[in-house]
Amino acid sequence: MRKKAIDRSKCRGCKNCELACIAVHSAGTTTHTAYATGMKTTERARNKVEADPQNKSFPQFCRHCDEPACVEACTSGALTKGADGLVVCDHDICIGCYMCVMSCPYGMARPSVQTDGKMIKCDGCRGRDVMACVAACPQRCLTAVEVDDPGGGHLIYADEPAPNACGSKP
Amino acid sequence: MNRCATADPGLAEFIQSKTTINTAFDRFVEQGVRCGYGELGVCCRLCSNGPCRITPDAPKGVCGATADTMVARGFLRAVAAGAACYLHVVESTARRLKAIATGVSPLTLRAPESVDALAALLGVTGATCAAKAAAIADAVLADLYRPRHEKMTLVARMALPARMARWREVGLLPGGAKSEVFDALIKTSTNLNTDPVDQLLHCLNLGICTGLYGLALTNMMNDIIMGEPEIGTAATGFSVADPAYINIGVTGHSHSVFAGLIEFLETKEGQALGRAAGAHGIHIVGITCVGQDMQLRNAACGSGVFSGQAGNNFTQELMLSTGAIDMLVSEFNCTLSGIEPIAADYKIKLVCLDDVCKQASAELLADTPGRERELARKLCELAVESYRTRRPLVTIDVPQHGYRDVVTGVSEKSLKKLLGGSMQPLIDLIANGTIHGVAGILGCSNLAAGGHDVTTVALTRELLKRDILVLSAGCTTGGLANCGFCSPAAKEWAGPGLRAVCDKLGIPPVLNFGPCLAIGRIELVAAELAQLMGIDIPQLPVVISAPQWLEEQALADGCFGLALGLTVHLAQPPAILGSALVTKVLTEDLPGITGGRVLVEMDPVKAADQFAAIMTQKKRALGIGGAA
Repeated sequence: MRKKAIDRSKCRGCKNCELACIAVHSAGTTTHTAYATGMKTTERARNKVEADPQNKSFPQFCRHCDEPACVEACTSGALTKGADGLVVCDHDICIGCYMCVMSCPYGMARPSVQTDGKMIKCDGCRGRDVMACVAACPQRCLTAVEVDDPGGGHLIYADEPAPNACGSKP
Repeated sequence: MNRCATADPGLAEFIQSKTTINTAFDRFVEQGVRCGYGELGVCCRLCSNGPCRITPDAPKGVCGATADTMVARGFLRAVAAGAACYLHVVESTARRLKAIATGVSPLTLRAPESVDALAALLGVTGATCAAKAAAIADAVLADLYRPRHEKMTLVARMALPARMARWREVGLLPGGAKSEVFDALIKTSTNLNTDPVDQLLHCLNLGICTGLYGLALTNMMNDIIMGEPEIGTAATGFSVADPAYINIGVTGHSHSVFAGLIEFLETKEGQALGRAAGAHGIHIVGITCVGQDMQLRNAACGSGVFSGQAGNNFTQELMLSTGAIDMLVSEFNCTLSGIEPIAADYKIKLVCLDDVCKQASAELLADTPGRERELARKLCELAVESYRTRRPLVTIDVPQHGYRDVVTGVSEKSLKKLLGGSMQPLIDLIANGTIHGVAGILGCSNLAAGGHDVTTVALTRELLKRDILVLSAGCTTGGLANCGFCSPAAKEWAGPGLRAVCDKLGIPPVLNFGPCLAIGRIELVAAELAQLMGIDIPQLPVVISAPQWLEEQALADGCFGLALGLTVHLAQPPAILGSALVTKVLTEDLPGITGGRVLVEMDPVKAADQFAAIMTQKKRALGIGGAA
């Protein structure tokens, strides 16, 4: 099972992981095509490099939680957790109620910036040979690892952040 | 070892044999993933609120700058820096010409017969040849130093009337070239100009400064100082370095900076210095464009002391690792930082002649017009000293590499002479369909477009197959020559029409115009073709390409091509694709402004097909070339 290992001490905040995410989810799947028509038609990234309380870069990604708050809050049934451990959204079903957006403790259930008003989130690059964010990380802060256990979420932190009191179980 | 590829098999073999040095071929792989925002041009580092990057979550910088503003601003800065580099070269060349003409410098002009023609072109007069040469230099320098509100005067004398009219109409005529660069820096600083279109027009203005002054006038003055190019045969590749000699490697772009050294090495006294050290004498080995320029004028100067052109920009680290170079002298750019540790390992003396290219471990011996002979003697003494101390300590490993039958010395003048005194035969060959069109394969080499010279070679091969005559200048030529394209046997790679032309004229299908400065010569050829045909440049079945452009100077060159109204192909886009507006202006709207446009295509087969289609379309419009 493919998971994402994160050594956040290596993150320099370049946001290349965000750009890779934008590109791979755009129609042409390259950075060039994603920006070809200007920002009006470009979908935002499903990840975000944030600053932690010590003001250090913190690459924020969907955990694909074992007990996902977003799935629990989803009113339409669009969000499901698959056998591969990935929590994904079926855009044909999503109605854009944003209950997931309000319930995700990590801010990784995001409203689309496009006109359809649906939610977007990390799909773990299911079906792609490599995870786009991992391939684009110049620091090797992000790496892909193969593990047997589908539980415990999608992310493996070298330096685990403090658990969020109101969060779902990663 | 995982290293970047090269199109040159001999070089590839040599790279693989060198396991103890670190070169650009290693570092390209080490660098790994590139920054996507930088590549798109949507990262701005102009103020302390940034760096700002444009994303859908943050579509504007802190100041409010859009992707369009950021991209145009970054592009103008790059073009201004590139223009500045070439303007430095034309300035130092004009200062040398002035110093020689006024007797401040003890050197002599090698082609005084060329003074009259250039004086007439520029509209300057003088009682003697020397006075005319001084007047030429004065006119060039006066234009360079004008304020921005005064237009440069030589533009109208250099440009085709049709171009001049278009430039005036669009507002592209430049004021003093250095002031244009200066104000480009102002425009692109924090919270100043935010108008992408204004900035792109400024780029074209700087293109005109670069092309007419940095390129064309530098060549014309160098032809007077160093001699006119003549078509001949020369050797290229690493084998040109003969270890029996003390070898002074040269990198840079200003041929006439070496006027004093070449003159001294041509004397018995100069060579005696080398022989006294136990060598056969002292030779110059060309690396990068200044070597291409020496090769171009080999017939006119330095024959016997110039051993040949070793290779283009990314060969220099490997050339030093042959151990055969005793001293490396750089006078301008394309001198990689990576040579310093290799020079230390191989105990090679490094000298810079200009602080603009000062390397940390090099000795700076500033070149001053009037003191050329002292500098030449000093350089030779340093080379001798380096030879004596290092040769017992280093292993020499010069591979069999390159070609001995490279056709060189092609210029706008020597080509015309070859064609019988007029460019008309070339027009006839296009008009009767024997050759499909003319492509300029110009500029640099890089490692990013598939590897060193990989795209240049692949594109050239495709163009030749399609009977497209290739004119080449810059590191592209250095690479193509080392891959056999500038040797007569390369005609076998050409289509039947072009091959017949090669047979008839005894030329290879790729004409070697020498250094990147000679992009100015190729554009003069285009202007002359247009003039003879009574049309404007955008109507010509000519495409230019900088397939593996590397640096800011190449962008300034490209802007000249765009100002001239040519289609300019690049395999990799410059950092513009983050802006839909800038991309649209350069690739779609420019034909309505200057007639030129940018064509980005990485695939060499698709690019060649597009070149051929553009040529067909232009010939159809002219009703020539069997393209009904």
